Amino acid sequence: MNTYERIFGALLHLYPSRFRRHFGREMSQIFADCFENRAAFWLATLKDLAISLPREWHREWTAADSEIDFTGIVDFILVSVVVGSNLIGWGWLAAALTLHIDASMAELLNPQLTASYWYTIALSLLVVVTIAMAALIGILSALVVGRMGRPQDTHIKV
Amino acid sequence: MPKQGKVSEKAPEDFLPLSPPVFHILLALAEGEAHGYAIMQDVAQRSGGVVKLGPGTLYGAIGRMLEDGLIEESEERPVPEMDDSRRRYYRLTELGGEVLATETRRLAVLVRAVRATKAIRNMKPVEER
Repeated sequence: MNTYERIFGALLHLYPSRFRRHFGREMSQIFADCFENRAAFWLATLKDLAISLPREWHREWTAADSEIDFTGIVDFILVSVVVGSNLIGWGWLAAALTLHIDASMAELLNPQLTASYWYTIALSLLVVVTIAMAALIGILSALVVGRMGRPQDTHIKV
Repeated sequence: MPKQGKVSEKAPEDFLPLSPPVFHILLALAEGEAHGYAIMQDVAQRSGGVVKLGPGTLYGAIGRMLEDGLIEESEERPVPEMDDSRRRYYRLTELGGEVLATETRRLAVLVRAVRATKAIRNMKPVEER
């Protein structure tokens, strides 16, 4: 097996595992039979992948006996939401503090604080609480999954 | 993905119109059983190089056709001494043959209708241009 066949073998891992199990060996064989180290050949191969990959994933996704691990996808979405909200929240808070820090020191000493300043503080507090809640949910979820373990034979059907 | 073609409850008309890869694969297998590479070469040759099926498109279509019962895997090897055991051979099922015939009739009716139009009648055949 040469380097190009190994590259194609790696690309086959982009297909759903059931499709790869059933046709992967034959596809590798056909690739080896047709192989030409020309740009046109590689373009045709990539075009074929671009067309067939979404189709096979859609087919696997909609199959009654789908092998897709939906729990992994749900985990990914949950982690993305928690990490994403943290990044956005802390970024926003840092920007708000940087913009208002000079004014805040002066205004803190002034008993007549403006409404916009209170609004900024309330919003900052809301962001911090939201982030804390999101992190708490993430940590609790991790603890529950870690304690109880994942169901072995079931998938969350979406 | 079934190893053998299963019995479909669909009528041949329910599969129409066929996608170009499915039609070409059925046509290639109408000559006799063949493995994936032979199907690929047959399709390219028959279409004058216009239709080229990549491995993903070819085996995606083969997978769907196996599920629909249009084709099935063949256990027999046409030429045992030249056989490559890594390859699977496929052949048409009765339903696959009926679907191919029905689609061919549909296309023939379409071609007749197109040829009957005035604009097409006045056009020169491709080989005369």
